[in-house]
Amino acid sequence: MMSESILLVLIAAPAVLGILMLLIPRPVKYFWETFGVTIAACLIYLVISLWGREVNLNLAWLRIPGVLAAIRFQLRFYGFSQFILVAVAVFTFLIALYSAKFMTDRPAANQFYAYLFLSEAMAFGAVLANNLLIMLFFWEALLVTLYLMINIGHPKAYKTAIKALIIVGFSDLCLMMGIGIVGMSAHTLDMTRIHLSTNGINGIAFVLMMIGAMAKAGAMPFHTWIPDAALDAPLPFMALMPGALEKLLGIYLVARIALDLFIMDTGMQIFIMTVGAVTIIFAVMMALVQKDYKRLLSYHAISQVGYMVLGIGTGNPIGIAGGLFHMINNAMYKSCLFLTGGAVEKQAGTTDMRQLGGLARQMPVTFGCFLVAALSISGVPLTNGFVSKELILEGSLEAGYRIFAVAAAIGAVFTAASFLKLGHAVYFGKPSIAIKKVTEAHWSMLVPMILLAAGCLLFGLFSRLPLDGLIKPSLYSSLGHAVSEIHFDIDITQWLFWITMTILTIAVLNHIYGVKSSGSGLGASEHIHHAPGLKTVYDLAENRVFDPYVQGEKGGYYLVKGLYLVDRAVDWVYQSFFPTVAGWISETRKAHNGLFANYLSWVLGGFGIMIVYLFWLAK
Amino acid sequence: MKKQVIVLWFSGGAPAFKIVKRGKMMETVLLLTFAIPISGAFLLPLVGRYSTRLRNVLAFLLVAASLTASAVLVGPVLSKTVVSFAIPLSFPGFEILKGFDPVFSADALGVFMALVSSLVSLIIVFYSFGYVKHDENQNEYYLMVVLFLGSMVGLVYSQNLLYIYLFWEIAAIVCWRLIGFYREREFVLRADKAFLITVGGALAMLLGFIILFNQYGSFDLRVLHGKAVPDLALVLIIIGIFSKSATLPFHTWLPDAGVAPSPVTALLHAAVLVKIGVFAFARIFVASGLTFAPDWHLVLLVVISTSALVSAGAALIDTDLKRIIAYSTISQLAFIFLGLMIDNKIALTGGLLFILMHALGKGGLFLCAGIIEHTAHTKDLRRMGGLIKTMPVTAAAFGLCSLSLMGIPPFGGFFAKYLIIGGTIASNIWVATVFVVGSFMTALYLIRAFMMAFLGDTQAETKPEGSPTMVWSVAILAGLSLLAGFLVQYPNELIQIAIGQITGR
Repeated sequence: MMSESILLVLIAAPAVLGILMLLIPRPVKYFWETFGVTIAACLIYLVISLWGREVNLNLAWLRIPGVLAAIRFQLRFYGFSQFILVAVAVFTFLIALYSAKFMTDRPAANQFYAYLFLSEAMAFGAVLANNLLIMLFFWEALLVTLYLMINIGHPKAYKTAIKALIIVGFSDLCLMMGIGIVGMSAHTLDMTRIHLSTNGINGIAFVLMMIGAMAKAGAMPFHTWIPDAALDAPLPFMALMPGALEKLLGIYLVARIALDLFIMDTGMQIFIMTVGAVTIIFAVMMALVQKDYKRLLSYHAISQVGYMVLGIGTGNPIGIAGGLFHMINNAMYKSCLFLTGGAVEKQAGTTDMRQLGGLARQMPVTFGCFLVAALSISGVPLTNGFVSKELILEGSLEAGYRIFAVAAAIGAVFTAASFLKLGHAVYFGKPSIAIKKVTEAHWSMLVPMILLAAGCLLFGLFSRLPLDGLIKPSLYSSLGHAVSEIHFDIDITQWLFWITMTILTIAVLNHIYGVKSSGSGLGASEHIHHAPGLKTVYDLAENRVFDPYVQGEKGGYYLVKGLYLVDRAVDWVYQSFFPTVAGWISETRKAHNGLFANYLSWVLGGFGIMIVYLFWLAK
Repeated sequence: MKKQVIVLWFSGGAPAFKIVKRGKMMETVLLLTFAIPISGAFLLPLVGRYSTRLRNVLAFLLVAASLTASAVLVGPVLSKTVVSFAIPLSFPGFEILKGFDPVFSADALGVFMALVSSLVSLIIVFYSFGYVKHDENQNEYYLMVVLFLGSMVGLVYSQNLLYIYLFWEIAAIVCWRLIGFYREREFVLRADKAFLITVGGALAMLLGFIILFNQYGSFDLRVLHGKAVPDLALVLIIIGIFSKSATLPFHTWLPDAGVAPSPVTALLHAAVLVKIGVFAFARIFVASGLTFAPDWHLVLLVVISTSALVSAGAALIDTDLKRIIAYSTISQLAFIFLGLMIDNKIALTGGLLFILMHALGKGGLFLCAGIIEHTAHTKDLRRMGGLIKTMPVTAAAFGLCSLSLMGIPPFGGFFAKYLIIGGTIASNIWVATVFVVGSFMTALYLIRAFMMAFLGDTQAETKPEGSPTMVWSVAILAGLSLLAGFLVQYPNELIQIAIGQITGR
């Protein structure tokens, strides 16, 4: 019972803390910050205290007698959820620590902390849930905090916040519909008892639920709010939500759907892998040409999702392990990169790459962290990104589809290229005159970055540690003993290793060519940006032709206008048609003209008709 | 308890009166639920001549008394007994009025609906203290509002079609006076429109009832229980229900009724008027199990699906805040109808829960619109903007109520909508898809309204917030919407008993 109540505390504690932060203004500067960071640390401890155990909680919530699919408040702590939970707890802690200094001068600092902890509570709930409806409950509740966190960025940020709300809301509705179908087919919402095939209507449910899960993770085409949020939302939000939490949740659900809830057939596998591959390529191409630190990172936040989805879509243990490992690695280096971006923003006052430059000397620690994280995301050996990308490549080759492996490789080239460009433009070269004097960031901002960068190296050098400690226990309940296939060694005699080296070499050569032809680090991607054919596509993308939100808005307008016209037409019947008809009928009053002869003729006429009628009856 | 409460079944002839003290008490309570507001309402203008303050307090107390009486009836409901009484009008030898007896019974469905209506009405009356403070004809206003609630509660407990019709028409007349409360010519025309459409529908419904009477010899729903409804009677009754509950193609009076004072529109949309139609549907076709041909079932589903989409589309185009919320009501009523029409427990639970959630959320939205009307002096969204700066509480309440209506957790609307759609999927997946699109559009138009009213640039300087009673009212409704999500089991308990009574009989 003790450990079961800990599950409830995990959800309730951050939720209550968040509400208190909203209601009570901070009495002393840094009061809520200190308090929040402490609680966040305690929550990590709580999760770890349950480590390795399986805890189930099952309470009645909404009782419908005679209906099996009624709603029970079921939570389950086990190998998989413990992994995601500890990651959520650690990232929330790091962001809370980082934001203490970053947000302190902003008017909405209190609110930010409140939403941060409310999000943590919802994320805990969504991961712990063992009943699809309870999961949906927490999952959709995250929408609200998502909206609110973007909204506090600056006075105009509400437009992006609403865009996010609508896109994610749409995908959540798909998820809800999917869950409804699953509930009907499986006659239960208990996640441990659902194992459906992907035939017929269940296939629709699978796709709908996948849309919900992948959209949360930020896969295409539900990604378009992320680059906008990069510019509008407060930076710690980016590091937290698109950087870490949403990836964790989204990929967790993708994995649960693909491995536990459904048994995928080949068609579905190809569907998932295609989404992954398309996301990798298109997002990285967009990332390559960005000229803003945060926006560039946000496109990578999308692109990396592709790898995870691709890995899980392969359906073999190596690929799945690679996908999950990439999820946690990505959360680490992507958060770290966003945090370096935040440090630059705080110290230099801008994230525009055209104005930045030469920061390596002025902010050495930040640069060091950036370097490690950038190497990781590019997949350089000895970092964690290298390990997980290799696993995904191996998995997709093992699944027998070379084309997806090729897509992953192309994505890797451009990922490396865009980070060469970013590093070159921001940390080397010359800054604009306005931002000459820049100092290193505050220690509370550096500590989270250093920890994350150290984590990247740790997981890279000792990859056995996370693979055996986190990934295998997660997959044990779904894959059983097949998890023993999961292993990884750096082996320079293997050709897979040399593929990676080739990828990196191409990226470096491309960068050197780009710098030579354009004359600056920032211009390193210009030759690709302006390549014939690509230029047109980039221009279209710049005009948001590929943004389903913008296109949906246009198309939806006509649809809605049509519906409105139906409504107006109905109203016209009451407002114009009936009164007009009534007007015609009242014209008959002219027959009442007051002449005696007239009335007499009416009477006689009527009498005549009656007589005829009576005769007709008599016949 | 079970033995003490007498359950009176009118059995076609001699009155089976057996007075047991305890049981008589509960019967009296049942009578009081609607007798207090209906008779008390007429005292209000008299009291108002001497003291407006006393009149306001009395109006509040009358509604509170009705709420309390209904709350007392929860006791017998939880112990699975049905308190009921009949006033026999026919005796052996005098059987002209056979089937005309007023029968009232407090089953779980009725108690649930009465509680929802009187709770929301209570908050609306409280809000009115601030809202109509400076208007003329306040005596009439309070008379009509309390009478409105009384007729609703009377209708809810009626087990006889004739008395359902009677209370139905009282509500129509009250509604006519209230919509045209500000006596401008345009407003009176709108009130006439509402009156003509709803009364036209009601007369059609009465014809339907008469057809039923001719066929089965009674207006008593317990006698009619489980009988088949002839096609013509069904169409006529449905016309009545749809015109009262503003469903396509009888819906356009509802957006036009937005000219009424905001607490009145809240009352129309959330607590009483449009819920009458929904409730009558639940009472006649669900609880009393009158059956009709399955083809009609499909026709009704098509009608409400169209209604949900058309009104949602209109809500996305219109720029008048109150009209948008009114269109939203039309759209959400289709969800309630859907829950009631789909033949499984999940959807039915959802439909009944949504009656509560919609009442709380929609009531809140209209009361917020009323505050905006008072401070910004406009209903046109294009002339609003940035109001969140001057009226944060109203903005928050509007946001919370919207979230509940959109069906976003942890608000009450989430469970209701999920259950409706989850239940529908099992029965008809295409209709479920249409309603998922409908609920996406719900989110869109509510977000749009919120954005245009509260966010963006300030268009004109406005006064900060409304009067404290008004702000408290919306805050309470928003809080209840949130609370209803966490404590959803409590209303659900009542609903499950209602469903048990419906399916068990």
